[in-house]
Amino acid sequence: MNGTISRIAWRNLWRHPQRTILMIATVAVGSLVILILFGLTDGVVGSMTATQVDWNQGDFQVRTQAYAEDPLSEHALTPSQISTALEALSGIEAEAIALRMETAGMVRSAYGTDGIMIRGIDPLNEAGATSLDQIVVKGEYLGNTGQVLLSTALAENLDIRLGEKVVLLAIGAEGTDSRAFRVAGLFQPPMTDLEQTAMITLEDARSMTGMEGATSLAFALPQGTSTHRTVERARELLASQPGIAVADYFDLNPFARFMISGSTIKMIPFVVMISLMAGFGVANTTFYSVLERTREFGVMTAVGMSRKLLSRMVLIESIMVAAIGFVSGGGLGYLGLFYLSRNGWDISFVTDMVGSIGFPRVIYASTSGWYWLAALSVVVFTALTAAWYPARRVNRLEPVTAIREG
Amino acid sequence: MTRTVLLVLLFTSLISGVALAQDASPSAQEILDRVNETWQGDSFHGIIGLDIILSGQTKSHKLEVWTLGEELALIRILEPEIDLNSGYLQLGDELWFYSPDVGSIKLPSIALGDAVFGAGPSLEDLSRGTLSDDYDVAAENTETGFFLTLIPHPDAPVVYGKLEIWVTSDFVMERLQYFDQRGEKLQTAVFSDVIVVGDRKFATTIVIEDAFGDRTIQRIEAPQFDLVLDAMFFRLETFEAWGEGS
Repeated sequence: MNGTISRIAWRNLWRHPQRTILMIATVAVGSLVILILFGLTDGVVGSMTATQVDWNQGDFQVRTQAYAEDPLSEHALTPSQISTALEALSGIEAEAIALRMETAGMVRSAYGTDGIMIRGIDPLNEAGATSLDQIVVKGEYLGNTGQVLLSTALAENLDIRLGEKVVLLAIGAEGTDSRAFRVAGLFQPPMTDLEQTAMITLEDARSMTGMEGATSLAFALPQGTSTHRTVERARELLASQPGIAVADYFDLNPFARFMISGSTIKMIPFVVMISLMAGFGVANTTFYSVLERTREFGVMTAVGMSRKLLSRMVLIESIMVAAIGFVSGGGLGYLGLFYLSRNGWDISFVTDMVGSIGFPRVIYASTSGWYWLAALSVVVFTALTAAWYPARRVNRLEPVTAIREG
Repeated sequence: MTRTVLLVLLFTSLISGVALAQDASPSAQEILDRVNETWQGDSFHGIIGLDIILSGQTKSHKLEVWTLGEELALIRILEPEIDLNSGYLQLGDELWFYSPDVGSIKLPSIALGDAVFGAGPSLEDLSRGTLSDDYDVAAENTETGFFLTLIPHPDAPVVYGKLEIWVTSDFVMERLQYFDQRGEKLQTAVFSDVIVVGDRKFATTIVIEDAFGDRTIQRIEAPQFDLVLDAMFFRLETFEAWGEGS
């Protein structure tokens, strides 16, 4: 019996192909938008994390508690603290550990001045930890003291060319120090906040700030290691060292924590809104198609078709529309997400505007099987609820009135 | 504004006068030392008019300035009216801004660095007499004095490629030109309206013009040198006293 009803429902749908296609499209667009929304939101967070970890911060950092609260070079880890920390963490398998001495400062060319962060690095370790050497697009990677690497954006702003001399001013424990540096290379960071960072050798940074040691140790973990568990372990290992703190991605990027906290919950209003729109679109059309067929339904009941079967037929029509719409929309959505996860979405037009809040220039969408569920549950549920009223109307049909009305 | 005012700080330490001494045929280094000497001053008081012309628009300021040695400086803004009795106080490496409405604010010490930094290290070097530490100097005799070419040492913290200085025969700087590292002219400072006060000789007008045609014109009125100033005058309470007086 159900088979017959389904066949009739299917045939009914294609009596008005345009209308049906419209309904399918409504559901399809709804599911597609929800999918893309989820994929991109997760993608932003994922890309942000990956970009910062891979190119800037490493998986986690060890620094002093004082530096975490007030990032001044005078709060740097002392050489003895560094060796204690490295010893305590020797059990952690790290791909590379980069020592850094960072301080605020300025860069000056003949054409202007700009505020920057000065990062003293050990060129070899830094290349291992953040692949800085791979984003050098002009000139050479940092080699010797007296050299500086600047971002292409900064070099453009201050009209600095490769090989020219710039003066860096660094804030140290005892006032400021200005020194000349030769621009050895220009790098193009994948996110804007590294654009205002000048890379010099650890040695130069130490002598400019008058501090020994390093402001932070950046740890890069091998692929596949659980950062979360490693950080917990590092915290345990360093628990006996007062004043030394382990900072994970969220400690280093408070903005990301704010973005991620409740990001799924923040999506609910959008999902509800899109679902309602798709739902009402389908309900409206179904309702119209039922009204139009009042006389037909009257005749069918008069010749012995039960009203229960009729209303089931209307329901099945809605389910078919929703299913086709969802499968095509979902399919397209996943294709889109897959494309974006491979090729990314260049949002540098936005990042260039908002500046340094840790956004990468290119967002890679995330594709999780879980998004199906979000789109499915909401769209199908709403479409069915919305189809309930027309079906109910059919169920209450009086054959004689219906035939007359129609 | 802050930077402009701080620029004035620098210049006031430059204009402290010139000893009217002359040498027969000094070497390049000696000429430079003499020029340096002329910048060294003890105390100064004067009113400085400042016209800043940026892309055709002129902004005018009038400042009253006191300096004592290299460490102490006090600037009181006279014009524009809206900033009257606001000012800056420099105590060594510390810098304060005062406004009658908000009181005093300590500016980060980098602001001072910024000004010095932004105003051009060559002027800083001139005022501190460290010019020859950073540059190789060559001199030529001209009809009216000397022409100096200064090339910075490779590791000197100087962003310029070359400086050219014209000096009169009595060691007053007439013109200072900055070149970038590609040999293009960046900025020209012209010193004019030289007057004599006591045994000092100095330029009362300094016009700085950059490659884009933006200009800063500085005029010094009623200059006084080597006057007796109490170090206690250089404190924040002085600002408050002005506010009460007016």
